[in-house]
Amino acid sequence: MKIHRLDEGLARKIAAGEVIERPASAAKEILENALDAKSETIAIDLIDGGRSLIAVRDDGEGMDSGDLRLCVEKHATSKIVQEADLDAIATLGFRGEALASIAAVAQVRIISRERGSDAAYRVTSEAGTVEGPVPAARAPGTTVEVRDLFFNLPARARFLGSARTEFFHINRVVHRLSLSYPAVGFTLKHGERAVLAAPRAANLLDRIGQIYGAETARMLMPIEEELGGIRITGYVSPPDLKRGNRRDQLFCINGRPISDRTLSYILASAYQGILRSGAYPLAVIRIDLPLDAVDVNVHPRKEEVRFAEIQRVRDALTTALSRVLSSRHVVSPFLGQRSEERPNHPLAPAPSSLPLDLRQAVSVGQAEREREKVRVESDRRVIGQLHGTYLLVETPEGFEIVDQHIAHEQILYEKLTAEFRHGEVARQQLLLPIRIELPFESAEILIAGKEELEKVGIILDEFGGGTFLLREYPILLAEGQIQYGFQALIEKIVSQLTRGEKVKERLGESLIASLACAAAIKAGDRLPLQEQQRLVDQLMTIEAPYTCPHGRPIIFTISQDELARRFKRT
Amino acid sequence: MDFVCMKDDLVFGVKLASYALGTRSSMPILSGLRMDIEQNRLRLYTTDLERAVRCEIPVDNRAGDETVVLNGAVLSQIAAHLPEDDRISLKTDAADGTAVKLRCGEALFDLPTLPVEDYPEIAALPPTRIATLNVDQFHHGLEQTIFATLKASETTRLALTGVDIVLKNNSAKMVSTNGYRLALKTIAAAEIVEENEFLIEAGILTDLDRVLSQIGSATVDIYQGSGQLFFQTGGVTFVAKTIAEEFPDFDQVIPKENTLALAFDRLALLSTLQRIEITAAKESGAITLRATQEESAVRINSSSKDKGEAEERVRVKAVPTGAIEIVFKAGYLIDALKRMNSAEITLWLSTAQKAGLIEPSGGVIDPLDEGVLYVCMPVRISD
Ligand SMILES: Nc1ncnc2c1ncn2[C@@H]1O[C@H](COP(=O)(O)OP(=O)(O)O)[C@@H](O)[C@H]1O
Ligand SMILES: [Mg+2]
Repeated sequence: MKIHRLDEGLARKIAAGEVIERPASAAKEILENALDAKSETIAIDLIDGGRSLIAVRDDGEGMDSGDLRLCVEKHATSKIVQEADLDAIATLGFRGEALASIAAVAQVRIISRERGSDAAYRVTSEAGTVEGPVPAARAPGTTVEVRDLFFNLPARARFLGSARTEFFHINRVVHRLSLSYPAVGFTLKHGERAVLAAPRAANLLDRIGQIYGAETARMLMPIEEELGGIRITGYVSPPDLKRGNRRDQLFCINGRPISDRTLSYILASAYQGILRSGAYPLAVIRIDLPLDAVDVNVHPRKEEVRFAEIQRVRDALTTALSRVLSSRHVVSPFLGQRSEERPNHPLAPAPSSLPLDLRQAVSVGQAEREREKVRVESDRRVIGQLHGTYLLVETPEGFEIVDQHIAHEQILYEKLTAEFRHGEVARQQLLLPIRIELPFESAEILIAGKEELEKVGIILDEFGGGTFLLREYPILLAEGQIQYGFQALIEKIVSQLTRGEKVKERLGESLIASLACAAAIKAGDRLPLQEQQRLVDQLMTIEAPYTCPHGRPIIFTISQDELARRFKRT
Repeated sequence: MDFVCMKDDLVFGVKLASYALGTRSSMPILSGLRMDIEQNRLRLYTTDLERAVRCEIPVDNRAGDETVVLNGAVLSQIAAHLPEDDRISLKTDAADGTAVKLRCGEALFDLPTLPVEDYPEIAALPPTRIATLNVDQFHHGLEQTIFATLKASETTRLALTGVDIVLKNNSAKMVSTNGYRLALKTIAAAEIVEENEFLIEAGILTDLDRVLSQIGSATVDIYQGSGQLFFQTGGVTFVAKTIAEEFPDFDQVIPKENTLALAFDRLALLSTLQRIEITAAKESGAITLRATQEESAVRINSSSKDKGEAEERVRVKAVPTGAIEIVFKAGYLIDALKRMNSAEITLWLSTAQKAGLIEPSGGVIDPLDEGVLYVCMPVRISD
């Protein structure tokens, strides 16, 4: 027997909290157990996206009948014994909680045969009532079957996504764990469909090939670095292989796949200027460091860690990335054009000269105008866009340069504020509510600020465990907001709500300012001439077209006199 | 290289190939059109790495097998302005193969070649065909779904820039959404060999649609390779990069419990909406539909502070079985009505908070509208 109950004192020191949120969380825990049991191959079967069945078969160490009896109990584990063990956790599990939590909300059956023993046993548990162990038959290893998750919690069950959505999450868990353990073979079946067959791989690159395709694997660039006891290895994508989100970025700390903002940020920074904003690299990065240099007991789902010395990890990773991204002749086939099209840092005009080829700007503007049949509503005629960022406008008095982002932001701000003051912000409902995940404290703040948010047109449903569903969004912003994603915006709003107490009466306006900023056209966005003209026309209909709420100028004017003087016409 | 071919063949090939010609200045080689001569076949190939076109034409080859890359834009301009003659000849000029002489009638062009070794590898056609579609139906499917996507420049959520194509149960479902509305079209497939699902960017599909319409074959075969779909017909292959992203679960958003059916004359509703949209607030375009059990009509109105108000009654086929007041973004309804063809459509509703569903209805449904469905989420003003 290897499993024992943790004493209460130690149990209390372990990061506690709800861990079984959806089939994917159950699958993750069970897979982690199979990996901790040193399995060589793991087979996963799902029915109905894991909602009806998650079955995991492994060929690991197994459990004897005494272990089987204990494993579904709370705080029962074989992985730690005393408090000091928490400082050097080498296994994926250590809380002794997972099987108990799953057994509390599903029908669970576990069959196991210890390596080197002839006898297999079975326990079953329904909503926490355990039966067995009874003799059973099985090759060495363990099978865990979880049926009808949340069958006793209909409210939770109702909130589960479709089979397809839940499957998608499990698939992701399997990808992440299998990339963390290339030497373990994985198969995944969904109903009758074999979704993944990744036999034991000789190395990480082969495993990446099994997951993302050989073509992708072939394009990846290896990274390797050892700095101050920290070893970084793995693969990152070249600039022409990119993703639309961070989903295919994996950081694996001593074999544990985790999420970490600092690491993601370092990765994003390394690609800055290589990928345009909104494009993300694909990366599988292993960081190996002494067990006591990282605390894994910080998050109930064990998805986050705390580094004793984050600075050293940061240095090692930055060095590793910059080496591969700068040393190699990294040129993106997509990049050149993209960065020409949308420069992130338009060159500041030299102060003494006008950096424009006016004649060219004018003639291009006219040709386009012909083609696009642009109607000019005001006496301001847009000539074109500079560096994808400023609009050049001819006026009877001279000409103006308009910052397109701030202009649009100001328009949206004024209109939304007007609706807000009348208490009638029109909201577009989302076809599929957007899931937003927040850390515990932020979630509390958001729940407390729910009413304020509703007033500005944001309807969020709380779903528990830091998860929210965004259901409605101000229609004025709806299409613009799609561009940059809602998660970051909601996080920003949370930080505003935190400060909200002091500026209660101005909170609405300040939220609107954030919303407007997030939805407004960005610097660097190329606009058709029609839209440029429309933007300027709209700007002229609002109350304060010249400065934004933060006091930044929107329009920069050069008079005819000024022009004449510069060209020494006077 | 030294060959002669029919002018029309080459012009046709160059025209198709030009759909995948690269334009990025950072990779000048992609502006090239690659020509492979193999015995009596000339293969033309272009790619911008997102899509590729390959087509074959017969030639009379007078030398060995060879590959050259020529400036594609120049070649397509030449192709559009060739003199009257049946034939065209191409011949490597300089001894080191850095130029090609193109002759048609009395016209002679001396064209510099681009370095073949820089040209990206050509993906081979995968061995197994996964489906065959009817080109006409596929075309209508694209027409009735592409509009509901977002442009790649408008979003970083790539799934919203594409049309999801689900090959299943002897049909192809095409679905697209911008997060607030969704267009779905199901067409019968000529054959499905392997059930599968792909997401392809709308811009690429638009080009594919154009290429297919020029070829004029009745069917197109689909093959699947790593991260790419190959559409092959009449000696032409169009390769489309797929988006590696999960498409939203669309089945879940199609409303199934609709209690209220409002059957409209499609064009009457369309023109009313276009009128009422005029006085709707500019950015939101919100219009209100009001049905009661008192009359066989729906009242549609809009108002905004700066533009005024408008109201209009539109006839519905039968007195509604319930009352409702629901707000939609006019543009979203107009988009869909414009792309349908049937004389009559039905707007299905349940409550003011639930999605509306539009589908063609009536005794005869225009064949072009078969399998078409549109879902749109309403707007909420206050509770
Ligand atoms: N697949 C398995 N093979 C062998 N032992 C297992 C397996 N799954 C669970 N166990 C045993 O059951 C115990 C309890 O599992 P769990 O509740 O996940 O807690 P933890 O993994 O944190 O210890 C583990 O410590 C382990 O000894
Ligand atoms: Mg565990």
